[in-house]
Amino acid sequence: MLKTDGIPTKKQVLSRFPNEELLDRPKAITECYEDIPCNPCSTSCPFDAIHI
Amino acid sequence: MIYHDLVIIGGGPAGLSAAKVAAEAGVKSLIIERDFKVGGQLVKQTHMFFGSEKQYASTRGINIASILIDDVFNKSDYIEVMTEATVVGLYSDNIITVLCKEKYIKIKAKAIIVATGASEKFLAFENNDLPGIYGAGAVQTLMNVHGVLPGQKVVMVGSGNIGLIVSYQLLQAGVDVVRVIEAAKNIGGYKVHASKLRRLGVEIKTGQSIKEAIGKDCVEKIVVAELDNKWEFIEGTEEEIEVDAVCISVGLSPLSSVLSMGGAQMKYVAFLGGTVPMIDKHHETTINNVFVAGDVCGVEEASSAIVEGYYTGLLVSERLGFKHPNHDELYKDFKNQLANLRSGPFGKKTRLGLKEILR
Repeated sequence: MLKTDGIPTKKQVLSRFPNEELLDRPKAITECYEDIPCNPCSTSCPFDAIHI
Repeated sequence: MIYHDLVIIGGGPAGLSAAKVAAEAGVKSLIIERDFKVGGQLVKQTHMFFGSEKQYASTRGINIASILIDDVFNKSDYIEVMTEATVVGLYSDNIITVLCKEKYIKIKAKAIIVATGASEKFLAFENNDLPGIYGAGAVQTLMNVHGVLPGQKVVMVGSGNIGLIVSYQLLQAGVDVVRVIEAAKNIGGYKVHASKLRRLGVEIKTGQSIKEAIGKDCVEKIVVAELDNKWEFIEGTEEEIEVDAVCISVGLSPLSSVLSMGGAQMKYVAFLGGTVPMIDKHHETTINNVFVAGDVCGVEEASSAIVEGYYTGLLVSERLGFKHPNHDELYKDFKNQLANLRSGPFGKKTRLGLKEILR
């Protein structure tokens, strides 16, 4: 369990997958499952792909 | 007696930020710092910060310190910095006594901002004074400031953000982090940090704490055991781990004793890490013209300390009759930034704690 040993469940990992249509090319998958007051991922993404 | 308009006690992120905004408003200030240089704990934090761009997210702590220090030294007409100087007394008529290079100095200020920060908590267990048992701050200082490894085989006690980040830095330095143990039922810090450690093979064990250290001249092994719901060790769950260093990272406690001495009304608030002063929405304590900023009124991240410093610097300047040219705009901005940093589940303790000290 993520909150006790740092390992996300398969369900959590899959929740960050884009849908099948978008998966025709390699995609970066974020592994952030918490509501953290921060946004460096969004401001530093060169493709403007992350919105918070 | 030396007279100053504004005296800021502590040259960490909160104190430096307060001086900067006060200088912009036209207020001359004196920063008193007990270390030999300003920057506070940021100078040992080589990791990149979270938060948003306004609080220098994605920038390393040590580089944030440089930015804040440059801001202050660029305004040297307005800001004076006194290092290796410890405030040893605060009196209700806003007189402070400072011990500086074996001399006592008395200073009277129109306003004082106490930005003394927080100190590390430690754990009581058998042989906790053996060499090789460090606080996380000491490990950061040794490793990140002086380039000295604290050991080869380490157990981290505590899984808050500092514990998790320092564990990762120990791995980067080639140290074997055997395990991260956490007394609570859940990991304390951000899970992105925890997962990063787990991916590198570090075991994280919750509901477990350190019971005893064993060793002759230095720590050789430790005994850990599981805890029940009352935080008592469960008989029979003891386990020995061979280590040559232990890092204790069990949180921080506000360094507020100078305010107690000055007669400020204080309150113990567990959510904020310990004994903190009662404050109004301008961060003023019950002593007239004595304000606080940063961890001294509740332990948070350095990002919050920076914004609290700006916020308090702005309000103190207004009190002293120097209204910042962009006062209204900045006031709103700083308030919003603080609200953002304290939003979500991780800000809950701070939100609840601050309600308890608002007067």
